[in-house]
Amino acid sequence: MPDHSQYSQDRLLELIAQCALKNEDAFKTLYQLTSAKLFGVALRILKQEARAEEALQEAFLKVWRYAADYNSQRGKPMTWLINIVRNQSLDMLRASVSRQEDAHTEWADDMEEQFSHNNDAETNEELERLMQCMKQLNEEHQQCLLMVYHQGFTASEVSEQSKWPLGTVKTWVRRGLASIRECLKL
Amino acid sequence: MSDQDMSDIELLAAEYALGSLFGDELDRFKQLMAEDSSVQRLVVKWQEALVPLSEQTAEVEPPPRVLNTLMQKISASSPQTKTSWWQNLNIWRPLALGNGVLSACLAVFIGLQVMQPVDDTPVKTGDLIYVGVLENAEKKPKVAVLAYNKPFRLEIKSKKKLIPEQNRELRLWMIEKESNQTVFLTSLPAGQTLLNVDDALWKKLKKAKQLVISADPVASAKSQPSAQILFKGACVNLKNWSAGS
Repeated sequence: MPDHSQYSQDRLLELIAQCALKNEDAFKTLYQLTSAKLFGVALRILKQEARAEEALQEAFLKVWRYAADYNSQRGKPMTWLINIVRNQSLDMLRASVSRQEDAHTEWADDMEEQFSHNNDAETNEELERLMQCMKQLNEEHQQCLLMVYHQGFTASEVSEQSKWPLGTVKTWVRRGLASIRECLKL
Repeated sequence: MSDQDMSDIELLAAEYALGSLFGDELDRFKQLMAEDSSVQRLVVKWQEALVPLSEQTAEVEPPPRVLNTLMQKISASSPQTKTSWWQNLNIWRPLALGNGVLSACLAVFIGLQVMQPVDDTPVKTGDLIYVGVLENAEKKPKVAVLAYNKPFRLEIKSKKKLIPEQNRELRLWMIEKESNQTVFLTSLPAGQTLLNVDDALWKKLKKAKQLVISADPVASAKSQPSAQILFKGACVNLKNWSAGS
């Protein structure tokens, strides 16, 4: 996990603890420190700003309500926050009647862009390790994993977008995860 | 490596963290996760492994109206969403385990030396300024020491009443931040949970980094805990946090 100067894990831990005590100032600070990153995550999945705003809002309301339930066994603070936003965004995405219209048609370009970011942006050790493991996968496996993770595609949607058979996509996702597990020694 | 090398549960946990579970499969896995903490741990392991992908997603500033709406909503909901003190204790556990990680926050402002018993009138959460989370020998959080202002009060919270064995008394100690010395603060009246706090030792206690509760023979010297250390843990100055430390 990158240790961003603007939000160290310890700082986030403190703020979440304060939210558990219903400190509104702490909640505001937590939002100000993390919302840009979390909005980016929601926007990447939902594609539309209005829906990403809704997801972000609902996610932060959950943070406020359930901050007292957070503990270190739920992962690092930023992991917890990101997964609340991701799950909220995925729920909204899958509840949408216009799901197919949301699908990103230029997924291949998007994947290229993703890898460009990976190469340029982060020096964090964990990210580097993960990206090294991703690069060891073949291109199709990488694309399957990233389409699911970043865009919330189901295996069926990956299959429709890519024209790969559904069974093949499912197999690639699982093999990709298994390879990452081995590579990261999880 | 083949996916056959992963257990079915781990594969599901990985797929959940990735986001590829859907529909009934997702619902069944959520149920499984709710019932089995080992499944939750697998999920967290995979979430931690994959989250760097989200961390490097480009930041996009949301419009100000989102925060404005949120602040209105939480202000409106606050009276109905007060959490139990024990829930709050769980959130403090990582701090208790931090052992110096939160160096900016570990100041204790509890004037314990001349505590006097008072009635058990519930204290308001908003007055809470300092929190200590004390764990037992098994590293489980068992006792919270809460300090309130206006007036200064100290509250000892635990799931079970703290009653010492015969001829023993509970004693509260602090460990000094710089010297690491253990210093006696006060004896804790059996079963007493809420006490007024004198501010005479205020400055001295600012140097505390941890609190300790022991059960010592009544007649024993108070230079060091002489017998059982029951609970021990860090204290946190909440005032530092709200000041934007």
